[in-house]
Amino acid sequence: MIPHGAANWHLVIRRLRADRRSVAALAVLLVLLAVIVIGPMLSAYGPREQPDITNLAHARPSMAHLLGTDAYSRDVLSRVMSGGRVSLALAASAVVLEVMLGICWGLAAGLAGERVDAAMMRCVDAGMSMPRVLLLLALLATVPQVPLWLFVLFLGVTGWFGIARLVRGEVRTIRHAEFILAARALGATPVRLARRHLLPQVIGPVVVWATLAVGQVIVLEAGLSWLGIGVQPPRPSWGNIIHDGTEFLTSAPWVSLAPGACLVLVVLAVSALGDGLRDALAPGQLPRT
Amino acid sequence: MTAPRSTPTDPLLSLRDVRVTFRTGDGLITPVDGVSFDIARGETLALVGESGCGKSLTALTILRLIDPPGRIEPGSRILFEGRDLLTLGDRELRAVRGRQAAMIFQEPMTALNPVYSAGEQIAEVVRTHTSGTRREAWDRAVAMLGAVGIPSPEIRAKQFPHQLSGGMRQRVMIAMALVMNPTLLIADEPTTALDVTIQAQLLDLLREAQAARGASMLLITHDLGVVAESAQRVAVMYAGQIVEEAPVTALFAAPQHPYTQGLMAAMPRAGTRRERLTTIPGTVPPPGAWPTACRFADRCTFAWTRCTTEAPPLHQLGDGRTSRCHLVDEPERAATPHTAAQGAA
Repeated sequence: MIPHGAANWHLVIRRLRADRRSVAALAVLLVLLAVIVIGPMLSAYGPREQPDITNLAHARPSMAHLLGTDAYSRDVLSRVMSGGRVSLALAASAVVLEVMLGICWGLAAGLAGERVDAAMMRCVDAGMSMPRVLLLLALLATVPQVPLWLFVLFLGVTGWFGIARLVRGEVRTIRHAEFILAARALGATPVRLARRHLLPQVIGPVVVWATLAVGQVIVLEAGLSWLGIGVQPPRPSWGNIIHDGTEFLTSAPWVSLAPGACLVLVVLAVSALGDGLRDALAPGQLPRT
Repeated sequence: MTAPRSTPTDPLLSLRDVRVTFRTGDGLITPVDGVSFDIARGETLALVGESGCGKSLTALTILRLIDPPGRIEPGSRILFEGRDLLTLGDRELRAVRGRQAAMIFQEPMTALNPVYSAGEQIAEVVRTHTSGTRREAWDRAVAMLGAVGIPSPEIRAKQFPHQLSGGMRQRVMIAMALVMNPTLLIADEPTTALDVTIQAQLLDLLREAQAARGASMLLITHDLGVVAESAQRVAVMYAGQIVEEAPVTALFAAPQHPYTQGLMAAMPRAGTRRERLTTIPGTVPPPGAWPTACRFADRCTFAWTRCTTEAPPLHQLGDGRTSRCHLVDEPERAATPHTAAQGAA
């Protein structure tokens, strides 16, 4: 067998499994993910189905509707599961986009000469100097009824500055490492250097960053959708389900509380996992035996 | 087919007036200042000198591995296989690096990438220069590990640098350098980081590998014992310049430059009883602070007024010997050494 790979992922996984916090976080995420993926297939009601708008609106949680119904008699559980699909898929794709943009920009800046690097990093500074929510509000204001893919794109292009800075910093510190010089002395091309020697070194911090970014994006999505400029109804997302319930927070609190609780749970789990990953990837740490 | 641009009698590598400058906060410094030497085919040239005299930088310059703020000055020429490496494009240059001329670094722990196994690092060099499959490159890497004397290479190839001993790591570096059968090996203090018994083994390995391939070698070292064992000719470097060049036996028999004499005197010898080793007083000054006339004058036991006012040329002494010292003109002064402190005063 030809061994292949970058960081010692066996070791990372072993450390992660020894960390209770990470295991718990992972378990929570997996259960939630399973419910969200499988749940809608088993559900008796569709997320947009309005069984009886006159008699069933704001029904309390019961055996028929485990999490009650909303103002249009829609099953909240079904909506939360479908909305979770949207929220999580959206967050994941936005983070993938952020990471790709950030890695490309960071690698390029890190390998570039001093002036190009400075120019590229000033762009990043400019991006970071504006609050992301503000940037997103400005972008979303230009498109009424934003389609989902464009929302993902907006989230992606406003979120890569931090990762670019992180990658660039890592590249700057290792680009003068002797093994990079040795690789160059033996004929490695810049692309090969980046792909085979630099990328594997930065991938650890990037994974940690990306995990934490998922939590951030979920919250952002919820906030913007709550404002009505993110995911557009009738497509459910955790943000706009919370919005649907805010009017009736005292009379029918379950409508907002159910997606809200999911949101909190996911964000907590994701950041716990991110912390665990960071510890597991900590350089210089000896494997626990 | 074009006519060959170099004949076998030409030197494989010729450096001509190579200068490297660095722009620093304190102005322009020239840590490699007008270095010229030749290496014939199959020959080993040792480049010796103290730390900070520009040896390693000269080695990096040959493969154009000087990064900004460093710069190889125009007017420098590095002729290799009849081509000036300084005029090559990036792609042509990369084809030379690793395939025709390969470099071995001093500290294999830092020169090997910690996240790849020994075999992968060697296979990587193969894949950079050939179009074969992963499998072929891997097999070649394993074979190469065997060839540099690593036992059970199939197993060792899958191990990471931190799982190998220092000697084995250096063997891996040597395998990386040799795998494409280069005609020139540049070895920058290849055994300095290792203990003496391993040093001897690795020098033997290098010598054998070199002889089997008819390759030339630039051996950078500060260890004159290594020089005597491995090299045919020696160039002594001080403060960015070559101060003496000679065939190895002639140099050991009669060093001409006071700096070379100092290095020889500082060498521990078996069979002599001395309480303390002789040393050369002082250290190599940093590149910005070199004396303007003779750069060794302030540490030299023979220095007189001429040495602090007039830079000595590199005198040709015949039989391939050179010396950058005014003593060549005024040999009678060699009889009257004084202490360096007086010379500097």
